[in-house]
Amino acid sequence: MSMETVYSYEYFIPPILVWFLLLIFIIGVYLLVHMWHPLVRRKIIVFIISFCLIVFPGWILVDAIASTIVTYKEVYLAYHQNEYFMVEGEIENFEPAPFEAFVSVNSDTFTVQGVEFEVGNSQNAGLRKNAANGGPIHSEGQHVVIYYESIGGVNYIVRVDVSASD
Amino acid sequence: MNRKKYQYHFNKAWFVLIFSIWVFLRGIRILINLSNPFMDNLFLGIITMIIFIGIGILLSISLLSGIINGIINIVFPYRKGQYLTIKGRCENVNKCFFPEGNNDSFEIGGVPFDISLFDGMPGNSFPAAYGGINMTEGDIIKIEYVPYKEKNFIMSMILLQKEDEGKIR
Repeated sequence: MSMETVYSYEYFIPPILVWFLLLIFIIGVYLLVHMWHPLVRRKIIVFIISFCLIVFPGWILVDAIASTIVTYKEVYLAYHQNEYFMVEGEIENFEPAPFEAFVSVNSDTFTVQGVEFEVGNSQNAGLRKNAANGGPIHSEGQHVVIYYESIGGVNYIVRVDVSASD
Repeated sequence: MNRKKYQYHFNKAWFVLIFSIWVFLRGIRILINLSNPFMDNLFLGIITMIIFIGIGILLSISLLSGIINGIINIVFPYRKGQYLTIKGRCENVNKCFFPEGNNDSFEIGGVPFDISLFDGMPGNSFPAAYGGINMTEGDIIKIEYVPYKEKNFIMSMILLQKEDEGKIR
């Protein structure tokens, strides 16, 4: 059976959450610096808001950046250094997520030869496009070859080959 | 940091236009996916699509017409040198406070100027409290401006001399 590659993890893009938290953090720093302007009233309120925007997102941002660095090394770099797992078989227990109008928050889940995968979580590295958004894995019984990295029990899909007739 | 100079480079309404186009495109994405077998709630999808496309179109059209109007009637004349220059003391200065207000106003030689944070037209739209030039009564300022529809759009503004600090330029 001839297979063709329909997805390969070529470009590393940090999750949207990192960018969002960074934006909030920058706004907090701007407010903190701007607080000393003579035309700023209610400095206490501005300080409290800037403090909240710096500390709470900042705390999560540090964790998100650390997680992104680990993902970059353990998933993206590892894949491009040909260090990955591979499984071939039919898609089983396929549970697709519904199409979401505004932003996708739910994921497709399925197994291949007993290995569990989740596709659609925008915070995950690797394949993020689920079936409802035109992803390559879309039905039960689909014959696939999945290349993946495994970190902390989570499997990140870095390449998908499907039967050429699919 | 006290700004002493402003020079017009681009209209910040472009950023809002990009956002409104994004909203419109999200609506089109839903329209394309109405027949998606994974669409869970078709009625909700249609409602969301109508809202996104409606808001996107309305915002985009109004912003685009304002931007084009501004380019034709303010930016092009300014680039061709068809603008007025005034230099003098600030009078009747009214400045807003952050975050309560969003509008400064003042006069130079009887010519009124208005700096509004949410002005979609070209020109200075940074009141002093939001990072703009913090002028006070009696400061000497030089302004290049384009008058259009009973309003004066500031394209360049330089604080030449503070009332209480002596000559700075």
